[in-house]
Amino acid sequence: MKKNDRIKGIGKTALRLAVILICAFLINTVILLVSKKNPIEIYSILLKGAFGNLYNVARSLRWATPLIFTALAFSVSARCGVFNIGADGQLYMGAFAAAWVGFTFTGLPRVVLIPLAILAAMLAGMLWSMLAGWISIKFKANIIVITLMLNYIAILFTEYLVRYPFYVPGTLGEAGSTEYVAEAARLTVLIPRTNVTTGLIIGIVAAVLLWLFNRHTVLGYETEIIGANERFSTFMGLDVRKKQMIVFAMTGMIAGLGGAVEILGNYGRFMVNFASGLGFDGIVVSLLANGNPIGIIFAALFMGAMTSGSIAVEMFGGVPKAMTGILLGVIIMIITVKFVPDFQKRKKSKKKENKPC
Amino acid sequence: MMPAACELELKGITKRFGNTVANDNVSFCIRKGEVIALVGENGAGKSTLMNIMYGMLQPDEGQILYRGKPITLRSPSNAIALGIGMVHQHFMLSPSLTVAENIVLGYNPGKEFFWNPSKFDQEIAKLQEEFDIQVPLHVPVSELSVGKMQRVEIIKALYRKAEILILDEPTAVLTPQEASELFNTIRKLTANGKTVVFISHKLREIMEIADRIVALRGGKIAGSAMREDVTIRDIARMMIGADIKGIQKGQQEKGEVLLQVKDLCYDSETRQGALDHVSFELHAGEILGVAGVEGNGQTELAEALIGVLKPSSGTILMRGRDITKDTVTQRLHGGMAHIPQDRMTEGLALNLSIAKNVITGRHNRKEISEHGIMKWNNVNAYAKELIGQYSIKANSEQDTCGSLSGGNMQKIVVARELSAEPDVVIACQPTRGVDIGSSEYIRQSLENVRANGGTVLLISADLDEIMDLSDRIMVMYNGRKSGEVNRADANETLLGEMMFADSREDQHEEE
Repeated sequence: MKKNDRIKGIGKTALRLAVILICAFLINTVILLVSKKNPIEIYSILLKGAFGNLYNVARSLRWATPLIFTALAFSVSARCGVFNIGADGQLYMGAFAAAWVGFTFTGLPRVVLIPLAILAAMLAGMLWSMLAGWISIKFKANIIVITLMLNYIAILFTEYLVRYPFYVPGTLGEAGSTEYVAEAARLTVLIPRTNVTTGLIIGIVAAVLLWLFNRHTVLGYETEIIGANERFSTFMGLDVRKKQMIVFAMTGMIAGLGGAVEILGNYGRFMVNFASGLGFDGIVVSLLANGNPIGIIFAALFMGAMTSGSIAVEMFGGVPKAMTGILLGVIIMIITVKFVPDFQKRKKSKKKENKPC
Repeated sequence: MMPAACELELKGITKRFGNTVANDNVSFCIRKGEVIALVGENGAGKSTLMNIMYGMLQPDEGQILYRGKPITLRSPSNAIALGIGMVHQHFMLSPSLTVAENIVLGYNPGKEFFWNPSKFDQEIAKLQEEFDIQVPLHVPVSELSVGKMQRVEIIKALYRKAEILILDEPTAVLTPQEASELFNTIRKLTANGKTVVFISHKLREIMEIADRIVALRGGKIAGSAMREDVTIRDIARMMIGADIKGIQKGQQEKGEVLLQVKDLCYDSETRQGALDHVSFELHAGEILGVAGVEGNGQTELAEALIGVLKPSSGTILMRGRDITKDTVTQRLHGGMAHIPQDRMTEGLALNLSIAKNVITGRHNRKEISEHGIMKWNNVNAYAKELIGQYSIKANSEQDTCGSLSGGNMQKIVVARELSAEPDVVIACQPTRGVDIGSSEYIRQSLENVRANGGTVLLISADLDEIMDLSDRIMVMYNGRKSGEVNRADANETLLGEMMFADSREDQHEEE
């Protein structure tokens, strides 16, 4: 009975996703037709670009990886009723911290250096996120505005760090990047000659841990109650501010971890503006997955495939990469207007009506 | 005598929501100049029916006839155009605009381009005179009392040329005196040929004002009768399909002092909602009723007692121990329970399951969680047990609270709070908007707390409830305790005077 319910729940989620995606692709098809492109051709290029061969698949996985982190980061806060859109900035801070550890403590062995870099990144992300939390609670300021502004500050601050205190003479510095991290700090490549690293596994583990946290811990339960009704939580004696600060910290840690994985896995050094928009794409992924950490893995894979495919579409189909931007926009719109859940409810109730009581 | 023709007639109205039938083949006739009372428990289909009459919902089957002609109401504006007006339970007024502006707002039959206040004023004044409804016209609505706001709503409907007025639980927010003024207005309206549909589940006022009573139960018409032909008991039987039992009041000696409140003060920027040196004691085995017009400090008192509101001075002692600085959690675990006045915003997380809602606040108990890990199997079993014990109508403990009726939602709150076997219960409006069956159950549960040697502070706007349950009654006005009487010495007039005489005095002060 209970198992049945769970399967039904998963089925419902899958149906919801399918309907969202079909709608989005239909609208996108209309746009392609209007701009006199052959949708079948474009979609087959998209598909090939995403899954055509091992390297395409690897590219999809590579782009999915950071989105898992930023989506998880957003979902933790959103579940507790905090619209923290600061994953971008937290990821930058984390990324820089990881890079700094990686190129500073070059003498350390692998088993120490990688965890150290990751911890530094999580700490940096955490502090950055808690700063946002502190400002919002202390000054009762709007969290969206604060996190958004802190994103700019983080991005520009790390750029300053790259260009001044950590300036490296020569081409690297001019191009806006730090030194390379020590080889011992690099994550292990899973598929040879691609960017798929153990970072993907870290992401999946993080998602599973978060799922367990949400589902089975007291704090997970409390944050859900707070997110569902803050006033009620206060009346029931939950320390809303404290719990929200913990959630801010968690968000920052996950986003910072994502930054470390990007640096240690892909780039090997911190580059100015290396990750534009990862935070916001993460929000889309989280919304797509309805905040469920396991769902986020799949939604991130889908988004990674879209990113990867759109690169091919731009190269071979003559359609700008912005097409995926349109697709994403449509998806967000469909989710926001909640057209799909309503549609589902109606269907469900009709089914029930037909059943004789 | 031939009955008068129907002003509005409903024929075979059926409305379904999913698999529930909210209205099932409902037919009745509203005659010109009568007050028809629509009674029924929550979930009986009153609101649905009313929304159909006002064009907010469309029936799946059936017909509405207006003066014999079939009509289709697609929206409230259709209904208004036909002369059907409605006064909602929650007023639809813009607080910063003046009374006159609120009345005129959104109604411009002549499609006039210019704002013409003097013309409006004349028209409104004429209506006021005709129906004898007194409200100052050029005061912002926010400065009016609730009773006056309601008058504004009535004038607003009349200004839109309403012939039929639907009043949705109009007395829920009024003092007894204000209610009787409302009844005078209703009598004036019907004398002038208007028709009133009066929705309520307070049986006593229905007997006072209605000409005819239509009872709904489970979406169907359960009976209808002329007022002269029935007693309160008959109507109750029609509504719930069974006799009401009445509260079983156990004998209980007044015991030790469980809660002592001394000179409790809370400064608020507005005078409403402040606490001004409130002191009282709650003894084991008694229920202390707190009467008063809403917004006179009752809410603040409850919130200060439970620990959500920090009082600016004064002390609260529980079993002699000072708990003024204790957190909500400490108080809950110390044997206090709180039924908040608004179950939707303060009592439940509506989009979460019943199971998740029945443990909140006391979820650190060993049976519920240990070492930071939730024991969901125990939680679900516990929720199932409470659903059975409190006869909450739900398919499973995994249903979201928001999917239940008001009465069942309130039962969840009561189940959570009372199953902890508290000594001190702060109950705010415990049966507001709750059907008769559930109300009885909740009242009996409070009575059981008293019988088991606990104590209840019962804050309610429903004087009948306070009179039925309390051993002592205190009245609050303007953040002060304006009076206290033993139940035996109390009657409605006396309490009403404590709530009202004081306020009249106060108005003079302001002038």
